Amino acid sequence: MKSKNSVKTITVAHLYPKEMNIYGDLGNVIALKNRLELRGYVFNYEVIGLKTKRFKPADIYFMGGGQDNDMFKVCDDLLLNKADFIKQEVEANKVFLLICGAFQLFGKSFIDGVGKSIEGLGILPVETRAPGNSLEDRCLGNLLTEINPDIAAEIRKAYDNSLPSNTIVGFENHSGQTYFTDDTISPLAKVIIGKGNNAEQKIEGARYKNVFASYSHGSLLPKNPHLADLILYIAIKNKYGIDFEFPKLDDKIEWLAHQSIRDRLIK
Amino acid sequence: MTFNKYLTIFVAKVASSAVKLLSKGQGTALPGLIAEKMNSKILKDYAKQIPEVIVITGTNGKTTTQQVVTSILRGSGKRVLANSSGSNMRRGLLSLFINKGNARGKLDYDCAVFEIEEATMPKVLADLSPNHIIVTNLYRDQLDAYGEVERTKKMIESAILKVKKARVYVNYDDPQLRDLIGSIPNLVTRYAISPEYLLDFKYEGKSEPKKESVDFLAEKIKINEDLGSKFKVAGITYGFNSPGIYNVYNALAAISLCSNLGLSTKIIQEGLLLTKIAFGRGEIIKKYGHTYRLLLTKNPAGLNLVLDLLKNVSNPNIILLLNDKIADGKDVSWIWDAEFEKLLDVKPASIIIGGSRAADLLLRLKYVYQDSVQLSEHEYILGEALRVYFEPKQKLLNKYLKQDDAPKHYFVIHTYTAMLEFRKLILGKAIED
Repeated sequence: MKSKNSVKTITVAHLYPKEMNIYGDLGNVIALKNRLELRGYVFNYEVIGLKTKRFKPADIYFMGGGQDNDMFKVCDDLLLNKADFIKQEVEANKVFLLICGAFQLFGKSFIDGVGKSIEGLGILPVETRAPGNSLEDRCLGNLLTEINPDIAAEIRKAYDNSLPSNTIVGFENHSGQTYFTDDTISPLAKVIIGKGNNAEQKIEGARYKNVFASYSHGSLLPKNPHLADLILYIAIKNKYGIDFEFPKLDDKIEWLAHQSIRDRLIK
Repeated sequence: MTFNKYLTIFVAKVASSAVKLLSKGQGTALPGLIAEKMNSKILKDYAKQIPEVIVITGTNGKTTTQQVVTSILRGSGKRVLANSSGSNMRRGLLSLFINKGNARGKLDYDCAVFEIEEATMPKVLADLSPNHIIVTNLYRDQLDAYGEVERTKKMIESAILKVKKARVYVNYDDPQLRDLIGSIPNLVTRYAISPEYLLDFKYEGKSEPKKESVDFLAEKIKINEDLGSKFKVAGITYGFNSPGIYNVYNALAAISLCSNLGLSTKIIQEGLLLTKIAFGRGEIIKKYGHTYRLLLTKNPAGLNLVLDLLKNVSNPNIILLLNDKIADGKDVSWIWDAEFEKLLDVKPASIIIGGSRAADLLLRLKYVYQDSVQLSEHEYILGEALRVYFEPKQKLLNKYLKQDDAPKHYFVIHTYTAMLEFRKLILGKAIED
């Protein structure tokens, strides 16, 4: 029986779960919860929604993708009620995981398929524009990427020295095409199969401080346990310094799911 | 114009025969493609010959609703033309007309009942000029195919705006459809189920209060042992063999429509009971001494309802089949939005997993039971005692089904093409749709 002092808690704040949850993004939260609990951590789940005015700092912030209409609503609320708080948290090196629409809203601006432009939070130096509103203009399909070597090196510390895979598998479905506007931000991965951030550059997602952004739904974390663990590892280290345990988990089924789709895509 | 029309029909009919001769396929699209190229007005010419045209659309329940309406109408003595889900797009419809009409393009039917894919609505509705349109519901479904629920709603709305004389029937419990009828001028018939059953249904969007009264309300719903249902509408009892409360909606849509058409209660009751269950939509198959109930699911809402339904069965044996072809939806991420955690209440005796994305299902289940022990390459124990057989190659599944001695009742939860494969595996033949 552990003493009460040794119980460590990680708080995951889910931003706009009602509006920004599409294509299975919830799976990311399920993965974080399980991987924390299996290691003996207490998973504390907080919701930050449209009406939330007061919120306590969390250790990990998660925000998913949404339909265009919902995104506009969320954007207004972000700029009006949450921008300062979120900027502080990013500067404080808190961990963020942003999927699809969230990635776009954290950038400088987003122009949708009919030319409607909205201002983003301006935290990430990226701009997003949708070339059109038809289905042909969407980046849609299975996504296979190779992790940025710098991030892969970090993963080796957090996950396992003998990294079973340096790939990320997922499914993308977005009309917006995202471009970096300076080099303070780096891609999460290089595209092997699929589109990624845009149809031209063959890069996917972003890393800026401890903000991880990706276009991978699918969900991202369950089938990519190495990335899930990097996110948890940074968050726990941020909070508890060097004094923490991070036991290895049995990820056989995770890798089975990862590899079965990866093998099919590169065949 | 007339000559062109006859020529078009002739060429398309030849193409249709050729396709049938050359392959065993149904030749559903090619004649339509040819006819459309030769004469763009031909769909309209055919459709206007049918006095009563009924169109059914929506994300879930199209096929079942169509089967009920068709069964009731045929029971009333009407000559009914109905399409299959394989021909629910423009060219398929046109091919159907060409095959069913004579060489002069004449059709001889009292009514037509068409299920139409949501995205096809804007492309065919004005030409079909239906008298009645049923919209079953708008769930998140096949988002990789159509983008978003909002987009789907807009497609249906823009189509209906071109046929203002049609009466529109909507599931009034669905907030998306309450919103839809606010922006169309058509006459509307609203149907709904008694509020106490609504907890199981997670509709998209905010549930703002219902402003108008409901025309047809299903009450006192009972699910039988075999998962079929009994319910009352305006004091009259109806029975339906398709499983679960979600099929009560499909029956209710048909009851609303057929009542408005002036058919007698007796004919509606009988037609409902005699409805042949659509392939995979609760269909029952017997093989190897076992009984299989096939339950098609393609989105979180559908899966949640099936799992709720299985709470009525003690320790069911479940087969989960997930494919990711176009007809299934290439994106399988919806399994993370579906509440597989309901399995903890269902308490299945065993689960067999198959299909091209079987590994994704296994992982999803691992997260439900939070613990896994691998016994062999294909056998796992999840949680404390649930035995799970993992076999992605569906054609090898029968080794698990044959080896059982005791007769079992299996509940097969599957996506569309996984169902086709499973039927072929069990029955040794493909569907003749």
